[in-house]
Amino acid sequence: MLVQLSFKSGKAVYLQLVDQVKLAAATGTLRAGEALPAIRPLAEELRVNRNTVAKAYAELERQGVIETIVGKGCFVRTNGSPFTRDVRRKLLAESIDLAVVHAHHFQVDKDEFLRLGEERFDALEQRRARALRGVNNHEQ
Amino acid sequence: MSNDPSVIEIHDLVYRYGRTDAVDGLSLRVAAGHCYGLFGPNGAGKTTTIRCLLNLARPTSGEIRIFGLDPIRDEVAMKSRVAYVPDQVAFYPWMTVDDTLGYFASFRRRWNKATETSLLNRFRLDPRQKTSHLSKGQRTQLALVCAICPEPELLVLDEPTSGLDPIVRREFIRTVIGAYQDGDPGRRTVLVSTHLISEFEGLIDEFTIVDRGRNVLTLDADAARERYQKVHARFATDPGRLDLAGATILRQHGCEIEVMVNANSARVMEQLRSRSPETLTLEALPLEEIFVSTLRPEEAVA
Amino acid sequence: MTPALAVSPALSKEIRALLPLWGGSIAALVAASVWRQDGPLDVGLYAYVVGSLAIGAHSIGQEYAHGTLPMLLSQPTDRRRVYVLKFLVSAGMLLTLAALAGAAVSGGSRPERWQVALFVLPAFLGLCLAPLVTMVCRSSLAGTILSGGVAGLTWAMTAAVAWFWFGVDAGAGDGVILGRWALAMIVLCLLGGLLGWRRFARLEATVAASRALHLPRWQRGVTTARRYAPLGALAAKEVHLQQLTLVVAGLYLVGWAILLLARSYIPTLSAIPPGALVLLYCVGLVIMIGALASAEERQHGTLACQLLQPAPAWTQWMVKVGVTFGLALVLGAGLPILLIRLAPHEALRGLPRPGDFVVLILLLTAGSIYISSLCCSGVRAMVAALPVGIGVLFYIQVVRAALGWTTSKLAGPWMGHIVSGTVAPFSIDPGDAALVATRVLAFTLVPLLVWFAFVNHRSSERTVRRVVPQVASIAALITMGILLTGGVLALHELSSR
Repeated sequence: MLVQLSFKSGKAVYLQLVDQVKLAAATGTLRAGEALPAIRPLAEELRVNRNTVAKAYAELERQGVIETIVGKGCFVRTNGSPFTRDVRRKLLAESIDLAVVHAHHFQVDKDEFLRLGEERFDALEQRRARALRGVNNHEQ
Repeated sequence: MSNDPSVIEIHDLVYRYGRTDAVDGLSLRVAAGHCYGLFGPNGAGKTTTIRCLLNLARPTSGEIRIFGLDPIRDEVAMKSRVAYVPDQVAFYPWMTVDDTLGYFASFRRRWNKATETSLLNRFRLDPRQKTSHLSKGQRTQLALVCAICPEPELLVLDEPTSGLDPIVRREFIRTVIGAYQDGDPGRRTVLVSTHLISEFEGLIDEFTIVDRGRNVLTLDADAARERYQKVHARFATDPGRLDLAGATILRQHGCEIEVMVNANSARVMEQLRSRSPETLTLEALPLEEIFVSTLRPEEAVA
Repeated sequence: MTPALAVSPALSKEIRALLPLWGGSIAALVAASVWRQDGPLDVGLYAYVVGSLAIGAHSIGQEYAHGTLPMLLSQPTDRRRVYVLKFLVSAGMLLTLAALAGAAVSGGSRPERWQVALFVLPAFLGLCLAPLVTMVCRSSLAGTILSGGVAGLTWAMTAAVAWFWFGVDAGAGDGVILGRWALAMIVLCLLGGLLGWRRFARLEATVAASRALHLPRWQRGVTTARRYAPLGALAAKEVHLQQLTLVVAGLYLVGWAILLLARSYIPTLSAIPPGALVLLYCVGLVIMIGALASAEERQHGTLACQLLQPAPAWTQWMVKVGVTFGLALVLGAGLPILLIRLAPHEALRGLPRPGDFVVLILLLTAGSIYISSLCCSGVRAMVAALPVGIGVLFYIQVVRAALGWTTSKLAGPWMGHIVSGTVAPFSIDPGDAALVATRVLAFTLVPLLVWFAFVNHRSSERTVRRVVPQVASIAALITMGILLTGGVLALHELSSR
């Protein structure tokens, strides 16, 4: 899994890491049950503080994206999020609120916003399908 | 700031050198397990501060505590938990790499031989090579090995990568992260004094910018990235003098203006928008830009 | 790690650091005792004194020389322990050196108690005073020289005090002055030792680079105009490098002035014959000038930067040589001659004539520059000069003896003696023959030595491959000079028969 960090993005490094892991899990680059790189080698490779990577992994665990098995490492969660449906909706609502505020600033109206939302959703599904197909081809 | 126990505490350090104050009222606090950056231009007093920390120089006034110990009175107890890589690395020229390691190991109660072997392999240092025949980068690497092997609780690095090529620099930082931080995280603290901020940006948790012997800014690295942003605006006509309270004007050239904001980006954006600019962008700043803009606003480059 | 094991790498490092100086002093002592010179100047004594001071100074000075002071002071060890270790190592070396020197100089006869006490004094000086001076000046060379300077100045002051206040007459003067001086020196040493101990405990590893001496800069206004004056700048830099020489010359002047002042009270001078003093000063100064010229500059690390300046290396070297020879002639030859002229003294009659004195100084300076171009630090150059000098004199004796022997086999023993210079040919003063040879040698040897020193100074490595041909050519030249002199003497003898 390739991680790209940018120190110019204004976002905390550990949050960038969290986002990239979540993106990888969502697009199928990281499959369910796959192991995440260990903290030390990842920190060395990215040349970031070990604490930062540890913090990112802790955040991912808190959000239910990964789980830690003592002695073995961190793995992408197989059985979905541990949160209840309401909690999940609430968390998503927060992200959507942010996007709505951006839409307001960029002067994008509601219809266009919804159309864009559909487009991006479809794109993600396509990427997942492609990733899965690639895996199937590989396994055959 | 964190609630971890503090490893280093400095209160109002003053060091007079000749007729000038190399350090003039510096205070800082380094918490355990953190990587702390001491940034500053040359001559800001970073090396002097570090020397006062390690009792290589006696401060004129001020209080220093490392692990709660006074560096002057409890010198040996303090130094047994600290390792230092100086800015001018020098060894006795007749000693080989192996002799040097043995010599520095003789001062320490704990020495991890496995770490030593793995680091020597990693850096490809020949144990039988004389230190006078090593290149500058290799000497710095040897100094780092001598500092990491005793597994100290505090690692003090003074301008460690100046004069080294980029590959050796990255290797150095990787080694600090990998070999040193690998142990008990709460007992691995790093203090780096450098002016190469972009290299150490990933490593640093918190930093202090020092200028002319004083600390100008102390911040958490992530917080700094979120708070400090650059606003760039271009107007159709020359807007004249703009009154933007609370923001630092980095550059104003004709119709273009660059402003550095500190957590008040929304208000400044509103103020600028009220003048109807042609373009208005908001950009985040890497630590080096924050450093340069804080100290020498007129020299900040887009 | 157990304390015993913990001491051993540190101990071996201290010993190894001082080993070259100790070995050099012992070599000089051994050479001096093997080849006895009955002159006013006991070379062995000189080696012993300088060696002792150098060992004491270098025990602390090595940290400044290698730049390892910050690393050493940041180790988790008690500073007192470090200082005690250095003290013990240098004490061991100094005492063995003192014992050897005593045995060598006294030639096996049982020394009296006061002689023993006097002999231990340089070791004591090196042990207690030299480290303190080194810490103040941040350089071994300055520590060595200035400790000696302090001792000499104390002697002069003690003598002056004794003569003025106690009205001591000539006969009983020597012992009393010496005794008082020894007492003063012991007190100074104890004080120095205490201060040195305290200073090391509070030593600061500041960023300031080590210089041979920190003389106060004469006040100069801010120079606004930057003129193109490379030669002037080079010459000024050279004089600046030789600060220590100026200090020593100043000390000599002060000492001589004190002696001059006291001359009206004492018709004859004390235990140390003035002729020896003058020669000691001249030879020592010349060696120091040479050591500072090349070795110290290389030790400062400014050489590479200097050679890249847009002035030809040869020009820079010529300026350096010019300033060096100039200072040697003025301070090493001119100053003593002037002072002797001002205060003529019977005991000084044995000194060579001014003309030959100058030639001798030139030769010695060139030799000293050459030796210093081979050494990597000023202290080593100074200590190495002595064994090398003895070696050269020894070589000359050997060649002369061989020449005399072969000639006596070929042309009879009388000719052999003539040629080897032991007997004067008809109407030639024996001393003159040697001096003619010296002059001939000087004219050829000095440029050669300067050229070789230039080649060595410029390059950063000192390979044996380059040094061996140099030494061989110098030896060949000396041999040729001796042969030539022998031939001239023989011809003169034959023609005058």
